[in-house]
Amino acid sequence: MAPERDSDFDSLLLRPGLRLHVRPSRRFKSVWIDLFLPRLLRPVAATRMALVGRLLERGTARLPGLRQLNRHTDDLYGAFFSSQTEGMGPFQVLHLHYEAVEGAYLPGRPDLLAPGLELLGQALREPYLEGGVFPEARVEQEKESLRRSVEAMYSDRTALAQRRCLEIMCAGEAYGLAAHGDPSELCGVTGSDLLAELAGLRASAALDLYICGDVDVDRAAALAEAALGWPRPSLKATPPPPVHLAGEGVRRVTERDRLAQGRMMLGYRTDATVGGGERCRYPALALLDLIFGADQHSRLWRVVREESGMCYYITSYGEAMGGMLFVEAGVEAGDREAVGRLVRQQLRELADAGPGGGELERSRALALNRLDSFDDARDRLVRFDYYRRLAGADTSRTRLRQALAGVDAAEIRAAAARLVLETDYFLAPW
Amino acid sequence: MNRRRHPLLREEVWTAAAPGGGRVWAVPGPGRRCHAVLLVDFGSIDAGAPGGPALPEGTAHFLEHRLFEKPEGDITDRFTRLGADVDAQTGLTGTSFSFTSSAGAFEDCLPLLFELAGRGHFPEAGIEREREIIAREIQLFDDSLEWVAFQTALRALYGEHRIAVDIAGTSESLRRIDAGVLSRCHHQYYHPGALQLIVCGAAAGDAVCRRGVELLEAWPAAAAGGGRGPRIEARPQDAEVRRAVAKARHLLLFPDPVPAAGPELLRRELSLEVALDILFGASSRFFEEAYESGLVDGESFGGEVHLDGLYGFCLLGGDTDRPGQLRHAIVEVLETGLRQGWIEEGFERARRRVFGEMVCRWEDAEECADLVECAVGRGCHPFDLVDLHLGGGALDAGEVAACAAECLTPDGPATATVLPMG
Repeated sequence: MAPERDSDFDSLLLRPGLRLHVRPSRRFKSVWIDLFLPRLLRPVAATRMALVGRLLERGTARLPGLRQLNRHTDDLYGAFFSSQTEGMGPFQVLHLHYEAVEGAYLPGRPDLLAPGLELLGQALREPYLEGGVFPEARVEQEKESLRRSVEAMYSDRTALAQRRCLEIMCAGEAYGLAAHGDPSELCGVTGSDLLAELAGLRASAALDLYICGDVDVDRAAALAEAALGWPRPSLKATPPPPVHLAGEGVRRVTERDRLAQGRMMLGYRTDATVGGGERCRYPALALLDLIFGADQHSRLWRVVREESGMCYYITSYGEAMGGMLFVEAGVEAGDREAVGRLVRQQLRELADAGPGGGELERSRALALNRLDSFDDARDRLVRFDYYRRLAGADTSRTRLRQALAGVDAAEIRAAAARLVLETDYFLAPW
Repeated sequence: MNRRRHPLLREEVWTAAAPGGGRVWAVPGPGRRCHAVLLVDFGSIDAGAPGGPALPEGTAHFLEHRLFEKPEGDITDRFTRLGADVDAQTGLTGTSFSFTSSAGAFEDCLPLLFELAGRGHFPEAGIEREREIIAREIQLFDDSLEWVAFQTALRALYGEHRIAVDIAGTSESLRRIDAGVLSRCHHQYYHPGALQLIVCGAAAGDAVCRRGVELLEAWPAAAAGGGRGPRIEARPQDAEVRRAVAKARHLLLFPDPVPAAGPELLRRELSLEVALDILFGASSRFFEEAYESGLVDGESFGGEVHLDGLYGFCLLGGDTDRPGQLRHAIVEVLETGLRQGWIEEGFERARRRVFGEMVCRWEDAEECADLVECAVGRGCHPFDLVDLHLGGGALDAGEVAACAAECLTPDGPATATVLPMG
């Protein structure tokens, strides 16, 4: 792997399919380990992998039950271990995470890094099995848990509206599938199906292992090799599929549910993505998002909330790999048209006249400050790095910083003009 | 100005009091960010001067919202220009205004924070619009299961008392809040003696203390505070509401009968947290069995301790389709576990866990500010929280078991339940 001189991590390829990224630092009082295994989201398989993610948290060959596993992490001074599937653009990523206090802050200075890597390796390579497969009782429990957790997730009506809008907008695309699985696909899935799914992922996914803490690269590499260094073929990263551009006309959908206040979602498409290469238009889109709706100083907050009083919250957010931008708001059903008009009008004004009154400078200052502050937040640092690797983009924060610093008003106007409204979704009260 | 160092944590806490009232706390740390919080000792339960007319419910929250508007526009823009994020929150007993900035912008942001909280401007047009915004906020929160369950718990514990009214107020009380009410409250409650500034992150402790004291000294003169009533006694009963949820959320409520303040309150709070963790946490026999039988799930089940000088209770529960059975299983653990010494048995493991978690809270500026707020809001030094874990003053198993026996009594906890629509 070519050295990246301005990267946040010391990265090296330990063996085919296993990359290690280390951030040696005494900045924090804890050590963090993140392990990512990606693949493209696919129907049925995504639901199975979501179950696998849950089963890995239930026990390992050496720590077979919930109680043993949790008592083990209690003994490691409250270390935290989790395993779950997460969506990143069109990918479903199996994410194992461990964090524990640095031994330097504990009586006797115990090492809590090595036990963490061991735990992650064991969870992935030697999960608890009975008769060579995931035990059926646990599989059934986790199916039920998954069903409930999805139901609970959508008790939050904003989350439901987001999901429905994405499903409608990206029907037939990987982007439209949920990394947490679809409860309607659980029927008939067995412990051996799930073990096969896990074995397939272990054999085919490129592993990215991130370690942040008071550790040098050589020691991290030796521990990683011991925990995760099984032989695997040379692997090529899967690039994200090409983005869809908006078709003709706006798809307008209204669905009804029990809720106190309607939820409006507007889904836009653009050709600007994070993986856009040298002449990438993503930095302009990211700044446009901040000027338009993503923050408390943004136009939508000011015009729709503060000036019109038509909603308590309204915001925008982007899907950087897929070239999508969404506006969401809590809106009375009777105000849907008026709020929609205001949103479209604000975007049109940005496309016609561009940002004004210091908007670009304010948004740029905020974006740069947030990017710089990643130094103090390992989760953001790790996710930023990994997300951009997955997207096949330039991984460096420094280079994104330079690009953000150079965006001008004309590029913001162009970014606004290239956003095309595709889906106008409303979740209305009965 | 006073500085204390903790050798094991390798942290230092600076503090200084302003002569005219108010205090500054600073925890300098590595990194590039600073997080500053200005705490005001005025929350939703404060009802105004004794003997005078009661403030409309939701006044503290309304005031917090309106303070962002200044004659020249929303003050958020000025923070944003400096690349800083600004926020505010109203709770039962306090209001907090906060920002996160780079180390370089900190000096310019700090006076803005004082201006945000200290300079009132209440034109009628803005107030009318705010009523609509807050009415929508209340409606939006009515779709949040967490919020509805917590409000139902407060109602079950405290009935009609003001503490059980939504922090944002009601559509009726919002109509009674006008410029006069806001301006009077701002004068009465936002005075230097009611303020504490907390700064964590990349800023020098002595400089923060000096600048903080200057800003407190320059605070616009204001009347002294309104005082607080006596401790709010719980009158527990069962409460139920129905919402569009997939399954019931069932919470058992344990009012704490023992009033505490200062360092004693911190001890009691940690004791009860440890007790709940040993008996019902992720490593407990109860949790393993309840999870495997589908009685509870891993996401929603858990315990919380809410102690303050004015009120105190524990909550325990989560989503279940068998509320009666969950209640029964919990009561059984309390009956058996407390008698059979489960706390003593699990204490060492739980102690390690909470110690590790406490150490990690010092590494992040926001978390650290929360921790400092938790201590100084109760009149304690932040290291008092650390002393609960180490040395001669550390908690022991007997103390935890005794607190649990006083508060987590198996006979008849009240319940709050959010049921699915029929």
